[in-house]
Amino acid sequence: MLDAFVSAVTPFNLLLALVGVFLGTIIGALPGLSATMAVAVLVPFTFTMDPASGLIALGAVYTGAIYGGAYAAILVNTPGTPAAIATALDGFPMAKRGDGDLAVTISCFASATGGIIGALALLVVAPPLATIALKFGPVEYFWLAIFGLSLIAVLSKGATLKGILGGFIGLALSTVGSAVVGGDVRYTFGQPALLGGIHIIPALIGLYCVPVLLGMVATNDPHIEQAAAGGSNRIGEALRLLWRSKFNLIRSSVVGTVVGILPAAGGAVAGLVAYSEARRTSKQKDEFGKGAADGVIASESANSATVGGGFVPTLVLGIPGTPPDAIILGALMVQGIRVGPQLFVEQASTVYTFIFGLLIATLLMIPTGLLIGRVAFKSISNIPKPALAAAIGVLIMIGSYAVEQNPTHVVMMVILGAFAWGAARYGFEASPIVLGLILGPIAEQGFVQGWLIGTASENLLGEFFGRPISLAIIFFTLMTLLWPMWTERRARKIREVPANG
Amino acid sequence: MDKLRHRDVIPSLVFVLLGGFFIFEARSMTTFGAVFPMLAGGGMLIGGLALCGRAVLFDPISQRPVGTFGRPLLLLLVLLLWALALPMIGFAESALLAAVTVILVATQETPRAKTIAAQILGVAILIAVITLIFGTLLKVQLP
Repeated sequence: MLDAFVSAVTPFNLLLALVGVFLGTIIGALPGLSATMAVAVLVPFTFTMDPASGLIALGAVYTGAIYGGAYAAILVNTPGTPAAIATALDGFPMAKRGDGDLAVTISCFASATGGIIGALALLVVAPPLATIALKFGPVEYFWLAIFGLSLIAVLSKGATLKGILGGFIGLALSTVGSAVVGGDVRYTFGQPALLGGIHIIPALIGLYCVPVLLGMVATNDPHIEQAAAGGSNRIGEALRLLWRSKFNLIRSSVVGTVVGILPAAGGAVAGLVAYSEARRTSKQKDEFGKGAADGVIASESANSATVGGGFVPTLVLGIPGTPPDAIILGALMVQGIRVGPQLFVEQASTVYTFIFGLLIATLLMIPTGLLIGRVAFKSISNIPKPALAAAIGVLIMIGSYAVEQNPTHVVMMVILGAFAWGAARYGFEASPIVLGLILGPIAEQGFVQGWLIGTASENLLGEFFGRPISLAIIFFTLMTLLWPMWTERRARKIREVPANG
Repeated sequence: MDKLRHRDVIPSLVFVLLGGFFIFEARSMTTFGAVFPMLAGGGMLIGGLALCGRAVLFDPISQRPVGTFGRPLLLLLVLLLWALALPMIGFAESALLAAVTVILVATQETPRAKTIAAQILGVAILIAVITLIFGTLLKVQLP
C-alpha cells in the first residue's frame, strides 16, 4: 500500500487530480452538464495514460462534478446535478438571506468529508461492502423509493396536502413514455419524442430554474443578497458549524457511502435520505427548508460519499453504481483491466494507487472549491439582474439541449417550467414533483418485479414484508412519518402541563 | 359563494380533471402498465377533491404570490419562442436575439443605453464561450 501511495503522489498524478477536480467542479456547476458528461468527455484522453493515472483523472472529474452541482443549487436554486436536489432546499434560502458564501464554503468542506469517508470505505472494506449490493433485490429498491417518497410529507410540513399532490404529479409525469415492465406506451399523445419519457435533466432545470428566472423579473428585489464588503469565505464560521454538526456530517457520509453501493440508487437518493435523517434528528426541525446549514451539510456529504461507495460494486462486482461508474468501467475494460474481487489482489497496485488518488483529489477539492465558490458567489450577487436573467436563460437552454441534443427537451423544459411557476403561485413546491419524477420509475420497477417474483414463488406477502432489509427500510419510513407527529404531541403535552399546574 | 372563490379551488379542479384523465387512459393498458398510472391518477383525483373540500369548508389562509404577473408571463413567452426557434435558426443566433429580449424585459427602471449595451456585450461573450466549449471541446452538435 505504501508503494501505491507513493505512486499516487507523483507530480503527474497530482496534476491530474487537481485539473480533474477543477474541470469537474466547473462542469457540475452548469445546469444540464452532468458528471456523466464530464467523465465521458475525458475518457478518450485516458487511453494513452497508465491505468492508475487514467482512473485518478476520471475519479477526480467525477468527484468535482458531484460537488459542483452545489453551486447552481445554492446560488440559482437549480441543482447542477440530481445529487444536489436536497442541497437546494436549504442552500438557496441561505443565499437569499446573504449567507450564500457560507453555504458554498460549508458544502465544500462537507463534500470533502463525505468524499474522504466514501474513499476510505472503498480502501478498507470494498469486498465485504459489495455483498450488501447483492442482497438488494427489486423489493428493497421499491421500499427505498417509498422511503424517498415519504420525504415529501416531511419536506412539505405546513403544506402537506399540496406536497402530497405534488408527489402524485411527479409520479404521473414519471409514467410518461414506455412502461418499465410490459412495454405499454403511456401518455405520449402519439409523439415519438416522448417514448423515452421525460428526461430528468431538462425536467430539473424546468421545474427549479424557470420559476426562479420568472421570479427575478417579477420584483425589483435582488436575486440574492450581496456579499458583505471585504468578506472572506467565512471559513472559520463554516468550520464551527461543521464541528457543531459533526454527528450529522459523519452519519450522512455513511448513508451516502451505503446508498452509493446500491446500483442505480445514486446521489439524489443519498442526499435526500441523509437530509431526511438530519431533519428528523435535529433539535431545530422547523429551520429545515428555510436555510438550515445542517441540511446543506447532510446533502453534500452524502452525495459526495456516493462517489467512493459507487466504486465498490463497480470494481468488485463489475456492476456500475451510477452512469459515470459505467463509463469508468468501460475505460477499465479498454485498458485491459478485469474487474472483480481478484482485482484487489492481482492488480492491487493499480487499484490502491487509484483509491489514494481519489482521496488526494477529494482533499484538493477544498482549495479548488473555496476559490471557485468565492468567485461564483461574488459574481452572482453583483451581476445586474437583467444580465443574470439572460445568462441563466442561455445556460438553461444549452443545458436542456446538450443532454441528448434533442430540441424537444428544450420545449419540455419550458413547458414544465411554466407549469411549476403556475403551481408555485398557488403554493405548490417543485421538490415533491421532482421526488415523484425521480423515484417513480424505481418504485414501479421494484414493485412489478417484486410482484412477479412473489407470485411465482407463491409468497407475495413474504416477498414484500418478509425480507430483513425491506423491514428495516419500512421501519425507517414509518419513523420518518410518525416521529415528527409523536414529538409534536409530546411537546404539546409538556407545554400544557404548566398551564394546568 | 365567496368560499368557491378561494385560491385553491381552481388548482384542485385541475387536479381532479388530470387525475380523471390518467385513470381513463389507464383502462386501455396492461395490468402492470396500469398500476402506477392508476395510483398517480387516483392520488391526484382524491387529493384534488380534498383540496377543494378544504378550501370550500374551512377557507384556510392562502398566501398570494409576490410581484407582478405580466412581466414573468412575457418572459415565459420569450423562453417558449426561444425554445421553438432554437433548432430553426441555430443556437448562437437565437441565444443572442433572445438574450437581448430578456435583458429588455427584465430591466425594471428606465433603461440607460450604455448599461444595456454593456449587459448585452457581456452576455454575447458568454454565448460565444459556451458555443466554443460545447461545440469544440464537448463535441455537442449545436443547431
